Amino acid sequence: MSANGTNGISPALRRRRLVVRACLVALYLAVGAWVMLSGREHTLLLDNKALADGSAPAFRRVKVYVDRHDPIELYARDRDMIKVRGQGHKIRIETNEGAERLEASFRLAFGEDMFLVSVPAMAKGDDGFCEVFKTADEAPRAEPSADEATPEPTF
Amino acid sequence: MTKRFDFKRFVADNVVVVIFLVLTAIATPISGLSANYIIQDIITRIGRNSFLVFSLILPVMAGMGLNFGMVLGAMAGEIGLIFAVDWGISGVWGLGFASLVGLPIAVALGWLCGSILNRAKGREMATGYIIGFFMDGVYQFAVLYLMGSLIPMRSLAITLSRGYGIRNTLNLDSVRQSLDNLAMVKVFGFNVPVATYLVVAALCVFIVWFRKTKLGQDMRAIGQDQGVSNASGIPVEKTRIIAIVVSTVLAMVGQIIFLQNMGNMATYNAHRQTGFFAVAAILVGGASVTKATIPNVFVGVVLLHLMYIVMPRAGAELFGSAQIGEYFRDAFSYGAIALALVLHAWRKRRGVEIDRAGLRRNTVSPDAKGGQA
Amino acid sequence: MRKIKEFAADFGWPRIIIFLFLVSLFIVAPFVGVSISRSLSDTLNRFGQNAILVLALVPMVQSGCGLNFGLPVGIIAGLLGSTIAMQLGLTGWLGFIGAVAICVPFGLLLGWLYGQLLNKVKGEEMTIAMYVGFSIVTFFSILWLLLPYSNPAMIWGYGGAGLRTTITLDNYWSKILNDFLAVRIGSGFVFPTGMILFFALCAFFVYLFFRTKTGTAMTAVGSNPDFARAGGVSSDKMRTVSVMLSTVLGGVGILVYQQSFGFIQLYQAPLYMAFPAVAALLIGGASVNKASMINVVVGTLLFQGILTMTPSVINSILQTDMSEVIRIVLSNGMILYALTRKTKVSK
Repeated sequence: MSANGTNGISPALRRRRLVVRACLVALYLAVGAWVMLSGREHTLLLDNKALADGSAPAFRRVKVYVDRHDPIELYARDRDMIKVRGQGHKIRIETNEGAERLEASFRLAFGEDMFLVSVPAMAKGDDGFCEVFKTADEAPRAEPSADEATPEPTF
Repeated sequence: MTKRFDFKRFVADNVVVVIFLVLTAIATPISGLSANYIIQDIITRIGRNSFLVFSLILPVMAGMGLNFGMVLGAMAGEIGLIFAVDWGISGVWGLGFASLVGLPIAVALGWLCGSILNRAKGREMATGYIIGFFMDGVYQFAVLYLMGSLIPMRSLAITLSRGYGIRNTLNLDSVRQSLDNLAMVKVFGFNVPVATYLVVAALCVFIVWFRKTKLGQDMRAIGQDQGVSNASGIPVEKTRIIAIVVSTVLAMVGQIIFLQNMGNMATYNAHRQTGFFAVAAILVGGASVTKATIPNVFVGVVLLHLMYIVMPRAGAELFGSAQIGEYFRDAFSYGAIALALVLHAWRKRRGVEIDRAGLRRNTVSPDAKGGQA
Repeated sequence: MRKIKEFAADFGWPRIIIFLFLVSLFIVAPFVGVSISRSLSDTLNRFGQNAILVLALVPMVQSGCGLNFGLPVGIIAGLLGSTIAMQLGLTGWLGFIGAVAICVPFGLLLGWLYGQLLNKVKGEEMTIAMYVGFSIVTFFSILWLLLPYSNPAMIWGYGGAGLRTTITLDNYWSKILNDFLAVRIGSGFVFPTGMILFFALCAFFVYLFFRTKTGTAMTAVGSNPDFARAGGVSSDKMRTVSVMLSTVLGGVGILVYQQSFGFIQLYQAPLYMAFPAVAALLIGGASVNKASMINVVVGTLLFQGILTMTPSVINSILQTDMSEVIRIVLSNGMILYALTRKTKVSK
């Protein structure tokens, strides 16, 4: 609430006020961007399937830790879903079937909703273990008709 | 002499509260609802509604009456939530994002509303009410026609199948009760949403602090007498606008808190009753058009919502129809608003007459100052 | 040129814009396949249907009580009139006249009470009127459920008590005024002579009333209360009379509306009925403290014309129903415009 009428104020004060306001706007945008990036929800599909080229088999049983979420247990050919917030994440697996890599960090693209994380690929050491996942056709995702009507008039 | 007068005024001040107390006291046992159920519901509803009701305090302080234009803030909050859902910003972050998006909209709408009210001095309340209706049309235009066509929307799940416009019901799954569940604490077996209560408490602190600032003092001075304030160099119009802007911004946040608790949003209807509920609550709590305090808000929210919980059941038990109970509570809420407004207007007029009589008695020669305006 | 400017300032730009908008709608209509004769007929029909409700606002504006947002008080009197007439089994002309006859005493009584209340709250009438209206509508919602109506055409079928939300007037007095002396021209155009005549009659009576001693005194109270007081006119009494007149007219207005619409709408339906009426009066050129018969006629024609034309014409042009938004913005914008004009605040 620094605003208090702009008439009859010295140029120095006016300049200071301008700077303060510019800072406030910058702060607003910065906070907005921060909230937007860290609050963005992505869906990860954790996939425990043998790779298409046969280079890595599925685990018979593996425990997957994503960030600080509760661990997810996957059996062979299992797929599970987890929702995460923000773009930078860590994944860790626990298994007794031997893996080249047990822990990895990965980044998600801000604009995408869903990603497929291949656990065998990650364990093998592939860096492209996390890829964007597109649902077949997004159009009829929500229930149609019923909800289409326009608002009822007040008067 | 003065003591009796004060007593009368006390009764007049609180007659609405008393009526509501008696009503709910009668209806509660009839409804047959358990005390546990009622208390839990009240705890939830305090968290859900009190922030919205608080947004009314500042304009009352500035002498602008009950700000029916607060629904503009509610609309801003809803637009914020639409974007939060559309962009997939979830949890408390989503609420924060919605508030950030809503902020400039609420400031702009509040400024507009305040400017209009400055041109309608003496009938702010009726004008504010109509501004709410008017902006409802603009909101509908923006959300039903611009979103998805002019304003890009990402999510197909929230847009109508024709390609533009937002669906009638917005699913708030991604932010549902995220504030409430941030710190849900069990106290004596009741779930208390501590985080929400902390936000409300922070707002109370803000209001107490704000009253003591220069701006707050100015507002109270304007509420007392605009002419005198103007003469003493307070920028009346501007301060009034600020009061409305702050009120609108608070209503914006309040609506977001309200909707995160509900978990669903009726895109085109959610704000229509907001003003009514908030105004009814603060008046039932014993506030008047010129005086509203923090206790008024809490008493009002508890009493009004107690009635909203109990009445349909009491109606069902008594008349075999919950519908009657619902009409009863609506009638009493509207009646409470009308009664509070009437009492206030009536008292104001009586006050003026008593002042006049006092003036007449005090003048040395009554004939010298015969004309009164 | 100056004359035009003066006229524009006097009449108000919003009204001119609305007028031009309506004219352009009528010009565009044939090109998008909307029948002019049917539109005109609809407009006239809706004019007759709503005009008395708009007329009902005039007395209170003139006496300085402001815009009667408490019109539902009168509407309730009208609803009592029609439901009781129906309950008594009156049909046809007898039914309609009976409804009016029953409505008038209720209107006088409710109006008197409402007037007493408004006299206690001078200067704050509008907001309070709004909430008095809301209160009485919700209160009567309870009564519609509880009152001992028994005509099977009116009460809920499945053994329940209470009146239906909408009651059809089909076998009672539906369209009785509309069809009286109605003139049919071509295929689409029907002139609802009876209804227009009835409105003209009411308007004429109100006009005459404002020529009588009481009427002029009422205007004096509204325009200059101090002067009126000096002239020995009781401002409270005049205001009460104006509120009673307004309430009775509101009741008669809803009866005319019902017979044309064909249904009695109960419960929450009258909640917001005051607002379109207020908007219409203001579009016609009235202000918060001055209104005339011309304002009523012009305003209702313009407002109802736009309500009739926007859905059909705008739909055909834009392929989407924007009429709702236009209606809301237009009617409330007009009320806002009137409320923010720098006129003397009526106290």
